[in-house]
Amino acid sequence: MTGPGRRLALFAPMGLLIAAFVLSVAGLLWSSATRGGIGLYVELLSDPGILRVLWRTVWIAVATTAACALLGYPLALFLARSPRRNLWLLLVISPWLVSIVVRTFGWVVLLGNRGVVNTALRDWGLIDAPVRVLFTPWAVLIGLVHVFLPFMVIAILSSLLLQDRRLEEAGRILGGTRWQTFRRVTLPLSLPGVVGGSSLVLLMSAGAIVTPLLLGGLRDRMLGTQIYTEVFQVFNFERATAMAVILLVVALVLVAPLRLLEARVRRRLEGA
Amino acid sequence: MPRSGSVGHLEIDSVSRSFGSLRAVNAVSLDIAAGEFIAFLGPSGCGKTTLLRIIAGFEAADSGRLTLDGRVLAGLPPNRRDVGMVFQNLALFPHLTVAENVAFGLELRRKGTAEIARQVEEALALVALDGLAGRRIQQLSGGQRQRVALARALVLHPAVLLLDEPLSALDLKLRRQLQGELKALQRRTGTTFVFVTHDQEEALSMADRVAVFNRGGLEQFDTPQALYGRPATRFVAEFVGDANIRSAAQLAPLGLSLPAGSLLVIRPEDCVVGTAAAAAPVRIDGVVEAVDFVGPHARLRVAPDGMPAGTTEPWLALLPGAALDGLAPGARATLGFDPARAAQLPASQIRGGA
Amino acid sequence: MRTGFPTRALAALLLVLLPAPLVIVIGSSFSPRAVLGFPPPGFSWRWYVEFLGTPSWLVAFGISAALALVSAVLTTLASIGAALALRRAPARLRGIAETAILAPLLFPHAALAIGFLGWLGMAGLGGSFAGMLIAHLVLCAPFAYRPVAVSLAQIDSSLPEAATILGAEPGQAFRRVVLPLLRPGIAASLLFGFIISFDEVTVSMFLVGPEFTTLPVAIYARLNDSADPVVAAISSILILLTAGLVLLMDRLVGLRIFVDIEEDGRHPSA
Repeated sequence: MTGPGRRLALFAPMGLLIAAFVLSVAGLLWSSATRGGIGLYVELLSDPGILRVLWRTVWIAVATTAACALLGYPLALFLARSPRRNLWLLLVISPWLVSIVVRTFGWVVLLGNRGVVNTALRDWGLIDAPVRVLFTPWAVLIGLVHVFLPFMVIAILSSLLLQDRRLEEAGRILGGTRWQTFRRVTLPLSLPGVVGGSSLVLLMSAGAIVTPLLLGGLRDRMLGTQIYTEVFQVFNFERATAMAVILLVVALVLVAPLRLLEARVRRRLEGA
Repeated sequence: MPRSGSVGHLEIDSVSRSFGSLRAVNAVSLDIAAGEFIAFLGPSGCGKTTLLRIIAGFEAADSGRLTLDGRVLAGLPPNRRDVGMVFQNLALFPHLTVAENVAFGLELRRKGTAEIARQVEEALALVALDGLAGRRIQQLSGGQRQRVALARALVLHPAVLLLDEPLSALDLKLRRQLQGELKALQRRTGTTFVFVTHDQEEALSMADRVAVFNRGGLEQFDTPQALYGRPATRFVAEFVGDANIRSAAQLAPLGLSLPAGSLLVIRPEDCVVGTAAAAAPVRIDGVVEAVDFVGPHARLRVAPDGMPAGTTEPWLALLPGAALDGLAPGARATLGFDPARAAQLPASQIRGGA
Repeated sequence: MRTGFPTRALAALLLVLLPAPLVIVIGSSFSPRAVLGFPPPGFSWRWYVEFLGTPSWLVAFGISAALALVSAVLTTLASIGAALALRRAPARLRGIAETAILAPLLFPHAALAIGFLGWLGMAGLGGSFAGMLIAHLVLCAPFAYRPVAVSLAQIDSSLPEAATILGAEPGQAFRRVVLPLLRPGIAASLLFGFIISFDEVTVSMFLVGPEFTTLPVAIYARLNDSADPVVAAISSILILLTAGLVLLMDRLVGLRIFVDIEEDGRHPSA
């Protein structure tokens, strides 16, 4: 039942899917190397406009991740301690019932100059002119945080739920205050969840297209939107390919330290 | 549902099995008669479970021969061996009810529906689970699950039933009760039982014969009485019950002479302390180190004189609780025993020990 | 131990904000006016009628549903095979294979889309159902694999052994013991595969053709054009559909598997 031939046959369909994935990554690198070459990268990376896009991508991705972690941790902690956890969890993942396109568009309705927020603020007399948020990086940030927060919450929640509650009780009985116990017991033990969730959010937000397109518009582009523009408006496939490779590298460089950290935290916790 | 006594004769002939450089089972030979209740006893990692899995067919032996009622088992898959098994975690199917678990093997044998229903009912009655046929496994207590596992195996009337520490997860009281039931069940069905355990009390109280394993090898295969009274090796003497084990050199100052290199095994209950020791053939003076009161008995540790504390082995004695009579730690005491009641291990068989 | 007030206040705020789009979408779908807005100025079924009466919407819906169904079934089957193949494989080999299966999760989808666009176009599959399907299979595979693998790992190896010693041939042991116990994992795989594919837009928007589009891409195109509430009406229908699927799964096999998948994710060695 466990013969190598049999195992290979069982794995074959999944192997085909892996091959399709490898083909697209390899194809991307190959066509970038043969059709654009190094020259294109030099050109792109010396273009101040592109460098601004690159920088915007990095800071928005990092800020999204940080905001998700800062907001997600207390929420996950609340869920972990709440007796009605499943109900709250349902609320947390409810955005997944709506297409990301529509979800993001909800924010257009909320943040627009004549959107819900501006209208309310004006009605209450708090502002005279509408606050311009939509089609700025801030709107993109808000949208991305909303889209990716559930991933972070679930990652942190699962590592909190894995913890033995008696560890916290031990922390308290040994004389720790609530804050000390949290800082020295709960938080360190849940770090794998935070780091794991962070690398996921960082990766997804760096490569996002739909949310930056709808909320940021075509002026304040991120790498994803830039690629979209190159393909559908400039019809420059070489540049799009080169940008895709740059995005790949940026994502890997951003996530690498987190992956290392995750491995280290996990090793320390498991004492392996 | 007893079977004729001629079914279930299991012969194990110098079976070996290695995992890498580890000799898990080392040239073990056992002849198990039909209808016998056999216990495989030993510490964890001694090879008893591996041997059981070889008998079941989940592992293959590297060498040696295995026959059941004259049939060679090598090459037969587990489903064609006529062997039943109760797993350590019971391995009850969580997606099936009690009755469906018991019927599982019968259905595979393509018995008729009425026949299956009748046999399931009979098997559940045998283990006193009559009313629970429709229950899910998750709704049962530990003891009830145990019985379902037994019924599921016994309903197929296997020639041999293998039991892999099936009671180890239960609490002591339930365990004692099920030990009794299991033994009665074995008597009633006449099936050959091979029961793996690391609990020597369990092995001694249940089995007709006990095979003691250590580091892959068979140390001794004998009745419980013989195992306890005449241990063949130092390992058996130490693993089965408590014992004072003394070398010839240690006993010489007491006026006992033994062949060089051999050992004397003196059971604690054969030792006497206090006034009763005056009449004993061999006496040791010393200081009481510890007294453990355990209900009907008291366990006494006496450090013999003439040696700095800690450099010599203390003597163990098991006394009736009433005979304690003011013996407290620190008190002087005389301990005595009769060498005629002690077992002697010849030099040639001292292996495996600490 | 309870959480402090600031934590609870923040949690409450987020628990209101996270489902807010649901409320906005469903609310604005009943608007009688042609502009998406919240709260709706009145009540009308107008946009539901428009969706159901517009062939191009229905075609896009059909394509997405078919795509999602086929993706879910194929990736789940591939995942069952892979999980069984890797179950008793040496730890090193299994680690490498699982990294390869999960790798699409670790690549920014915008870059992956360009990769697909390149070779699918060269293979003559650009803008076709087959090309889109290949991309969706790759993107769904990691999500479909995890539930099946977790579910399989939970089946104690003594269960198929017990079936064998009770007389089952290996095939019978698989059909009668392993497969029924794998059901929650299989259901979760199908659900994940379906939802991921049905909702996929980042990669899909690069792979649609002039004659061929998926529902999310069509919705995106419509939103870029004119933000009328037909999009909200479609989304409301989809919300109902997805919620129905999740409920069905809960009734059939329970949702416990989702928690197990997450716990497994934090402890890949287990």
